[in-house]
Amino acid sequence: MKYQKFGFYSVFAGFYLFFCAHVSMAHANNISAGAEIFIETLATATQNTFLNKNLAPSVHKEEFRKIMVDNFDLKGVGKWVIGRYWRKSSANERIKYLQVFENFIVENYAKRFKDYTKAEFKINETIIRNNSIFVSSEINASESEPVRIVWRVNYKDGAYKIIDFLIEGVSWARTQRSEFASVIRNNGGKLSALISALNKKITYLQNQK
Amino acid sequence: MVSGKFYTICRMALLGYAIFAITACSSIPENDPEAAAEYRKINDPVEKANRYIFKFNQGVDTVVLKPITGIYRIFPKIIRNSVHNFFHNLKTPVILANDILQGEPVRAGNTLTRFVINTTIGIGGVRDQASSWGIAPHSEDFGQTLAVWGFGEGPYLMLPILGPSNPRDAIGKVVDYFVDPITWWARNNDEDWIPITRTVMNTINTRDRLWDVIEDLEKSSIDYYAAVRSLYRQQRNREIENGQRRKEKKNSDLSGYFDLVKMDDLFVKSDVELVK
Repeated sequence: MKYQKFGFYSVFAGFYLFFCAHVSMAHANNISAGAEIFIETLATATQNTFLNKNLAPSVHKEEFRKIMVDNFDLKGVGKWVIGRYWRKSSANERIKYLQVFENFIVENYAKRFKDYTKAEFKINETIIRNNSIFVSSEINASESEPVRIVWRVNYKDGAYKIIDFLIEGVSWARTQRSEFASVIRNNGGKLSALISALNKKITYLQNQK
Repeated sequence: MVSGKFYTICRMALLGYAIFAITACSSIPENDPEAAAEYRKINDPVEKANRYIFKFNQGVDTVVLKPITGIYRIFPKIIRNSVHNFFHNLKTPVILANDILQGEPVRAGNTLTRFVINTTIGIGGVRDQASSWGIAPHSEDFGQTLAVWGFGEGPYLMLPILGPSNPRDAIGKVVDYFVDPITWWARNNDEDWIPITRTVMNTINTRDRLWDVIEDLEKSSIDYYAAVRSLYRQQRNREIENGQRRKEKKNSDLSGYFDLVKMDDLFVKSDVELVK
């Protein structure tokens, strides 16, 4: 009797585990597929914005800002790139910094897309690792060699957010972190020094033709 | 005779560099554990000296290298690509030796096959026929071999003229130079101009291929030195991982990514975590 019961329970447990594994795998597949659609949509939106040459540069910039704010975890990345200095900063400084961080990215990247011409965007594969979804993509412009970009996406509360991207294996977040920390460290550990350095850069980029 | 003098000068320069670097060394901020941890992670104890040398290198670039490369860029891309292919093909013995030393028979085979195809059908290496037949080029050097053997990179070093490096990669460069049969042959036959010409052409070629990247980085970075340091480490890490882990090869875009910094500690866990 005892053994029979044990047998019953183990079969039941086996089924249950199988069921769980199956559900979570299906769920993981759904998450991957969703991430691909997310990146695809983002790419199309960006392309459409910059291919529309009738829009004024300032409109381009604002459209781009909207795309960035909606699809990037700017706060998460902003926090991460200044590391331990985030904890040491005041609430007021944090708000100021996050705003400047956003402006810096918009100014920096809107410029690069300015002369954008039609290119083919294609997704190669998607893998899940270290709590994130990695979507590998390729951009093929006719003139130059294909550029490989991997998007690191987090899925939280039913929404996808980009937290990093790697161009030919070089991480954007990591490079920013090393630069930002260096500026703060070389200026007596003050976040305000980074804010003014970013502001200076923004002005410089705005004055560039 | 000339080369004897050259080596004496090299030795003096090296000694001067060592003294300069050591005196410019900063101390570890032991009283603040977080700052100490950061200091170790950045791993750039001679940052002050490195920054001076970086400035010097930038000066050399502005005055000499960039203008020369600018003239070189008048040539159409197709010719510049041929030059690149030709010099890459000449590196075959060094790449092959390092493939073998790393225990990578497949990559060694690729290197050899590429050499045979490109030297014959590719007309002495100016055309990369092997690539269009699906055998992509790869690079190997003794710095990477040392890494595969388990040597750490050591502190970051900015070398005069040669640029970003570290003790491991610097030793690797020297070894690669002396292992190269072209160097031997030239020394034995008193044809010093060959390695010199090759070094000059390789430098111009590299500067040409990095032209847009450098311009972009200079414009967009707020600390150019720190950006270069980060990029160098990420690139090297990626190259080393590529040869090391066969499992990773398929996702070569991500190789090296997880090793440098533990990235997740500051991000809120996503739902992906709950699924696994």
